[in-house]
Amino acid sequence: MQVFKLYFKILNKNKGQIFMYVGIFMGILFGFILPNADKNSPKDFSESTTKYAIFDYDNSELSKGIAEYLEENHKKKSIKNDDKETIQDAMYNMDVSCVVRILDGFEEGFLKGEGDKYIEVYRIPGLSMAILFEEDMRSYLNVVDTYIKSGHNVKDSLIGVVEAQEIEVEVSLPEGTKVNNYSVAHWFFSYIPWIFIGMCVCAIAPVLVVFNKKVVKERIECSPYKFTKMNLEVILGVVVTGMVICIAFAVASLVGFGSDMKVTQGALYIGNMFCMMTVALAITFIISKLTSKGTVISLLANVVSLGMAFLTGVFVPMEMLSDTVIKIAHFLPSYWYELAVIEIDNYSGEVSTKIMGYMGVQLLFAVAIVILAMVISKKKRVA
Amino acid sequence: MFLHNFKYAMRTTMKNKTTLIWTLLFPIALATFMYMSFGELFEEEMMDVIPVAVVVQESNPSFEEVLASLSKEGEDQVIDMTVTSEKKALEKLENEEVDAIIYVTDIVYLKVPGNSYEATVLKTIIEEYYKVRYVVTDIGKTAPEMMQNALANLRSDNQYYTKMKTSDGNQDVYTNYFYAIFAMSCLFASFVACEKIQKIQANVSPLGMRRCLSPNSKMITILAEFFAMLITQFAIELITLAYMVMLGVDFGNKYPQIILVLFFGSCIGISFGIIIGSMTRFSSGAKEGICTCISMILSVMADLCASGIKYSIEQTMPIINRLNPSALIVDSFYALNIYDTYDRYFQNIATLGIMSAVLIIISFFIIRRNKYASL
Repeated sequence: MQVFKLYFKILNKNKGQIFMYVGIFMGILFGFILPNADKNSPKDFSESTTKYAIFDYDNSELSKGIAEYLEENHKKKSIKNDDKETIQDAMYNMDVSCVVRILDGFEEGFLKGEGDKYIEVYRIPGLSMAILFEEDMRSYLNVVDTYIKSGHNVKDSLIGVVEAQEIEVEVSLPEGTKVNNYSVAHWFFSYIPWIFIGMCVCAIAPVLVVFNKKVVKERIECSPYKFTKMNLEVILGVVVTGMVICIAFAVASLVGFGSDMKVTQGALYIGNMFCMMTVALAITFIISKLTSKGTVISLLANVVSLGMAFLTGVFVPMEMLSDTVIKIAHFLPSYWYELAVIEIDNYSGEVSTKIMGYMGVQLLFAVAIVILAMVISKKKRVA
Repeated sequence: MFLHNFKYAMRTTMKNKTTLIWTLLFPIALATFMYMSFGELFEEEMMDVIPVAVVVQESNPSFEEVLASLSKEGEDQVIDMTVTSEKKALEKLENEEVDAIIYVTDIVYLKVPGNSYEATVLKTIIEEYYKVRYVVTDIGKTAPEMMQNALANLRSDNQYYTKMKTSDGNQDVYTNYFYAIFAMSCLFASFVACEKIQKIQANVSPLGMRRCLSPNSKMITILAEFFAMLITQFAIELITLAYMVMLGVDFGNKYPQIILVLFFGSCIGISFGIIIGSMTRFSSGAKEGICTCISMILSVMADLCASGIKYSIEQTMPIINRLNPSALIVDSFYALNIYDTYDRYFQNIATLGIMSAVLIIISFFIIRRNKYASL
């Protein structure tokens, strides 16, 4: 097993790349995805709310009434201060969609019919979240204003508006439809194609390149070591690397969300992950045949992994992608992986043939890529 | 002497065609994929006329009047309604031809395919109708003499707040991904820089041995290599910029300032490669690995994979964003696009410039007067 040992000796030099991808993945997962994941979202219709921040400098009965109403109906967030730059940064990064500033003297102004001079609503014009919020706030103030103009005082007007707000319209979904809220496990597994392809190409391809080097190849060929044995040991090394990475991710997923998943569901997620690993290893193999330059390998690793991720709904939910992108995505293995992840996420006790089909397509992609790599390799040898 | 070195540095850079082509193709390919994926996402978040199917189960003239006014063509049109049977309405909902079905009875209700802002807007509109009815009834009981005033006020378009906006620039958060491509592409210039700088080190390459024998000053050699790489990388960034503009990415119109960002971005990427290449302790492969790792990590932290990471860092540890060259490049683009003032932009550019100069000076001190006991 000399070649097998040598493979891991060289791989050891590239272990930094593996740890880097694991680190990035963990960073995104724990720093970004998990804090933003909606863990207990209902499976029936729920109203969309707008994230907003409010600065109340009036502190009057009316301004407090508005603040309370908004807090009940939308998601209040706090931002550092109400400087123009802070507001802009928060809105641009979607931390909030609207910022309300209620200026001192608002209640008095409102009673005089000059309320608009004392409330400022910062928003990105045209954004649906902002329009929803604005419309809600305008409607609230309109009702309060109507009560006041009809002779009610502020306190009674606020009571009136609260009662008026209690009216709830029934909203239902078509029979058999559930709202598709993704679980945390879904987000964990949906990032896998990007991580696996980037990780395998950056770490394993340079090792394969060493074995492809003419001088090394010729040196091994003139030794009593059989060519087939050498190849088998390299393949074994690659497979073992892939297995170890998969097992590590599987253990991490079970530790992290094992309790939220059904046994079969967990097994399907892991099975699907192994299929994706096969694809990642096949891509690694073809890239090692295409180039021997470390710089180019790094660039290709990123183009392929990020490109696939952008086109197949790794970074954004697939339903947000356009029809054209989805059509193109059909030709990419990670698309089938992501479809399987969505199906597994919706698992309700019965393993659908669809999931198996999606896994099968990934394996077929892997086989096709390996065959293509062998053709390229042969052509290069002949040339 | 500088010109002589520079000429050869340029020639070797241009002859390294594989790397050159891939360095150029890398941002162009990523920009293409990204544009296909995210190019129109922001537009989808903008409010549009909502297509709805209306099923009249029981006559409700006042609500039907509301629907008619909401679907009146013009700037204020909110819905585009089709009055139809329930069966056809359900078909339309299933085929995604409409966003909702409004069932008109005495108590109006909705059927929607899932959660969406459009569904919530429609729900709000219907609730608004009932709210008005409630208020009118309530005022009718408590102050009937004010009824006409109340009705007029409820139907009015009174503006109760001042609409404010913070910028006239492109507010599309997905543009951040394109800024991040530039940042990543600039930092990936470190690969070539690292490779090149190793060719002036006697303990790494035979060419390095030869070059160490010459009486050339190391500073001149480093600067010649630096400027040769800078010209190439800067040209690559300009081509990428032209390509992205052709694609339709909106970077605003401050092109001279954008070009300056790309210039300093290229500087920092190359200087970063030079300092890694200068480290004597690591093997060539390890240095390549370090370049990839650091460039990737810094780019991911500057919103390459998920928009909002840079902002989260800004909220918790802003110092990281002040030192992360990728974040500085992304932030410079953002500041140019959004702000009227140049304070933040120049602060970022100055940091990038100072960082590049410091890195080059340090690498000069690492490489100069190296003595080798055995080669």
